Amino acid sequence: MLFNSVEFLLFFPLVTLGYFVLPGRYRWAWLLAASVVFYAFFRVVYLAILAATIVIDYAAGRLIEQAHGRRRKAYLVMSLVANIGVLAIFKYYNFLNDNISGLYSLLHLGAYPLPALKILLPIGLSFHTFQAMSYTIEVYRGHQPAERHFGLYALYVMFYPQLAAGPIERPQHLLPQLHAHHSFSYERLRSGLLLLAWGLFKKVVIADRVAVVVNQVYDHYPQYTGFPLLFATACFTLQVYCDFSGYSDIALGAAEVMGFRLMKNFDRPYFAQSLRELWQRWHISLSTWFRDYVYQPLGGNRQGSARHALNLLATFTLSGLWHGAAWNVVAWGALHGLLLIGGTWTRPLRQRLAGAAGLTRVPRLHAALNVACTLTLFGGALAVFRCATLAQAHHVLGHMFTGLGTQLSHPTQWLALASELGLPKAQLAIAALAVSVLFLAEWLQGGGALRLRLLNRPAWVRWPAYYALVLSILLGAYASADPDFFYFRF
Amino acid sequence: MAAAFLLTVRRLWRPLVLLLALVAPLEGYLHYRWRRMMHRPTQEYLDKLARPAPGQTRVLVAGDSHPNNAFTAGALPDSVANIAVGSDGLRDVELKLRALLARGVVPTCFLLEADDHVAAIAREAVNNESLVVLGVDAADYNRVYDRAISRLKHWTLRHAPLTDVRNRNVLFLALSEQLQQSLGTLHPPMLRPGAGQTWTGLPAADRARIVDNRRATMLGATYALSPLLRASWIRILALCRSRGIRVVGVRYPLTPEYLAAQAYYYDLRPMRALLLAHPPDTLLDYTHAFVRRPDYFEDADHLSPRGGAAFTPRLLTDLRGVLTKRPVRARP
Repeated sequence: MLFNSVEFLLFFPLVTLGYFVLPGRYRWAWLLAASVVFYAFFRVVYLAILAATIVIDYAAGRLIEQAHGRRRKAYLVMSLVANIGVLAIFKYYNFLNDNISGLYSLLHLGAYPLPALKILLPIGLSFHTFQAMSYTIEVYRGHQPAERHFGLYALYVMFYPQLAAGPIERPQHLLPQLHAHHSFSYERLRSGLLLLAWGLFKKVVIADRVAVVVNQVYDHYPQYTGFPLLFATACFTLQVYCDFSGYSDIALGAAEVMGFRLMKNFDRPYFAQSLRELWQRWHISLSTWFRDYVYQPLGGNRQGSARHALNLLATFTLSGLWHGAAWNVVAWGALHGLLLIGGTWTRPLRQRLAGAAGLTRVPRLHAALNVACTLTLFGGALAVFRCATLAQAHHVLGHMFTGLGTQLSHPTQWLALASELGLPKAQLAIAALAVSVLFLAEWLQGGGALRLRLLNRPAWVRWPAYYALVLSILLGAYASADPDFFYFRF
Repeated sequence: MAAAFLLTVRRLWRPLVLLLALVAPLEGYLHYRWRRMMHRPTQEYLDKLARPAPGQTRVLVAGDSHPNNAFTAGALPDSVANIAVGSDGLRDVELKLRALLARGVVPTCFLLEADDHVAAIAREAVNNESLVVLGVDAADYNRVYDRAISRLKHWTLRHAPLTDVRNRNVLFLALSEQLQQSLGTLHPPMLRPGAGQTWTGLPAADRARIVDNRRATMLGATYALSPLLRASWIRILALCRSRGIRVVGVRYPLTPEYLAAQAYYYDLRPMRALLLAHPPDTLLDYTHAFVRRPDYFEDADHLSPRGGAAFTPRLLTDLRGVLTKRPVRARP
């Protein structure tokens, strides 16, 4: 079920009401049943895969806790193999198969025997698999007791707000909340609903609108050079952020209404002054997952700069692979690893240059330049991410500046050029206005939690703001060809 | 718990009533405008078509703005119903046909648009899916569009079409165009140059730009057939044949400039191949019918009302000839 659907409009109040009306001992069952229904809306057969991993990881958790020595490790490995195996079959099998088959024909080894599988990637597979793996790893590390209640463990994996696209929760954070009794609270209701509406605004007003330009240009990329490619990439930078952080906001808001506090997944990443900082603010639940379970075990930054660089590169390449089974996405991850290594190595030099240029005396300008550079690097790398293949990425990056001088020599033509990319001028104006509102809100957020500040204002300030938000969603929503959330495909 | 609920209700009822007072009239107005402006391709239209005399409609015309513009409504006899709507794709046509057949409207003859663009990959994304869904069976819709909308969603769309964001966007676009027209500020670059204005009345530079724009819109950067639209074409033919409906493929008139651009930029053989492999019972080709009469067009590829008035009797005459042929036997 999509958050931006009619079904969810009925589902959410019904489930929330049922949750509070039911006695505490039945609530987990109610939420689990609701989560099953939520997931079944995508495709019922996916439930079987989820059920299998839930049973395996629940059993693994119990066995790890009871076992000692090498057996403990063996059970952990069993759980990891099962989870990665599911990912390997559903997400990476065809990718590997294609590449090995290509290698076969390149080396003239004859006919490749294994056929491609005709399977669809279950929605959110990478998210709930990683969440399940974090449970068994934490039990193995002794940070989390194994969950005895099978239903609550199933709910930990299937909790509907974060089932399809995260945040990837940790057992220490979510499981105690699933055990706890949550009373209805007016404050949580309005705070959660406000966050939910804000997420919806980001998704349906901004992300779905700019997606039209992105799809038009990237789906017909040989037609374009220069400005259209740059503009579509800028739009994609907005789309992917508004889409994914919008989803996270809706998830956090829906959970908050019922009394659950999910992990914060985005913290104004486009105000980050370096790529390192951006990754600490972007998809936080995944970044910290890779930090805790890949980067730190590899040695982190504790074993010299060469090893540190290697660890960064390996972690980001794996993160790229997590995002998609395609070489361009792996390259996108590796590119970020390289950019971070470059950023670490050139930091003293950049600081000296900034000092010599006098930028340290104007910290605001310095910060603004840092933000601009970070966004440019991040956006440029996103072009690789958005493309379907490495060849397309090569073409797009190679033609991004072709003819740009001529195209932009007449500023009056910019709008005309932009409006020929799928969105008429009026829609572009609405998108620009909505993006301005977004960045203004995020800038204000820098001075403290904007939502809490708004909630503490008098009613005559609060309610017009709520009305404006609701009306902007009702009147400003835009339909893209694909209403799904972008990160569902992972 | 109950106390907290009561407190919430006490705190919220006034602002919520105010919100409702703001939203309800607005939504009511939008719904009213929707019914007025988007009425034609919806359930009511299809029902109306079926209601008066189901046996009477003998010829059904379907397609996009080409057939929509090509016929003068008043000049069509009662036995001909034109259900073509701008931007209808082959899948929309298929769905409408299925919906009509389900309602008991079985035409003798089905005029299926066979222009080069109808199955082009560039037209895959151009359709009236969100409008057509209102008048058709949910299962048909899911099958033809490879979607999975629930019965609940289908029911909701039927009774509250503006819950679909695409429908809202279409309505807002229509409303804004209407407003701009009434203010006299609407001068779109390609369509509907204005009352009384003709293709030949436009400056040559504008015509060249419009042709370039239109051919890219209709046929894309490179021309290829869409497997989905191709499949829909084949299904339409099979459906008609199973009911004994004669399919007449019609290729509508185009301006000489547009035809020249088509010939220059594209290899259109894939459509010819489709017509050869899966031919309609009869093919009427009028693409070059008005190359000497560019004044019959209102833009690069649409007949003006004057052009429609000239085209309608010509097609009806040809059609009479086609209909005198031996009836098509149903081949299930």
